[in-house]
Amino acid sequence: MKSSLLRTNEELSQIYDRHVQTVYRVCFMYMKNRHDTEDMVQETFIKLYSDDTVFESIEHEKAWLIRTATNLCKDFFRHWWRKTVGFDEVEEVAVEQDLEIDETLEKVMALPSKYKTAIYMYYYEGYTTVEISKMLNIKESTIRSHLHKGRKLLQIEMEGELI
Amino acid sequence: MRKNDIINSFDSINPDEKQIGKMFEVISGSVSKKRKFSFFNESFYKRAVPALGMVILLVSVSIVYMGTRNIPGKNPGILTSQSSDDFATMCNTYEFSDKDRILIDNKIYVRMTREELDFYDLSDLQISEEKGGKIATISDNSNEFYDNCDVYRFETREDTDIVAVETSDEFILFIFEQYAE
Repeated sequence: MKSSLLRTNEELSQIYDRHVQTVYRVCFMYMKNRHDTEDMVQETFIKLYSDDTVFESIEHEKAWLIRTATNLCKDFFRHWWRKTVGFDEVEEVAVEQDLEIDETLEKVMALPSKYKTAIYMYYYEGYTTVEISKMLNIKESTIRSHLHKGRKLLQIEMEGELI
Repeated sequence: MRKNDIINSFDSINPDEKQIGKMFEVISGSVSKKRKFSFFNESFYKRAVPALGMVILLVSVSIVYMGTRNIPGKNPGILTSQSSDDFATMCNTYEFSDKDRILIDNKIYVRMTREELDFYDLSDLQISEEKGGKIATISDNSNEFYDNCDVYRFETREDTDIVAVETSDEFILFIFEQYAE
């Protein structure tokens, strides 16, 4: 796979088409509204343009985008957070109603970000705990713990239903 | 089943076509700006720095080359003076009307007579102590007596252009006579 410091518009367009949905989902889990999600998606791809990582495969490309999007969203809250409201309040911000949100998604979105990300990557993207650990640069045991706690919270929220 | 519920719920998080297009427009715009900036940052400097280096190298080589041309002995016809303000391009002697003359850098100097030395009150001076910087070496002359003699600026009389020629056993003073044609 070709990659350079100055990726061409064509390369950028191809990568965007391949992964925009994934990046959007990752960002939406953090931002919880369309407007901020769009901003973070744009930031992620703009960062991709000036990054000189040479991708070995489409999976590598996707992993880079998920990691970058996650970090950008976390950074957004780190910076914006201190000036406005506390973290807990942001976690409780209601998910924008212009998306069709079912009960399950609403419960997943209500999880703390770290659990939510682990659940998304494990169940939806199909990554193993080892892969998630490498991608997010977090210990594998921590990922397993996040998955466990996330599952537990969802079980409680789902009134004991197993996932 | 529950796992599928989660997968299905994540599936519902999707940007619509309009959003996808709008986001890409913003990304393209930003990338275009960065690309212009990068041209000056990278392409321009990647070209300019080696070019500037080449110019500096060429200038340095030229300066060194010009300097080596003026080393005494390497090119006997062109001589630099010891004092920085003079540059003798030619230095030779000839005899005319029974007087020794030397030609230095298009200027003709004539050997001072006893009367002239007395007139300038130079007869008792210790010339070797009062001579100035070396300005040339006589390399081409009709009188072997002056062969390879060094010529010094003689600065004792500031208003008079006098040079001193160092022979094997004495200094002989020459006074400016005229410009060579």
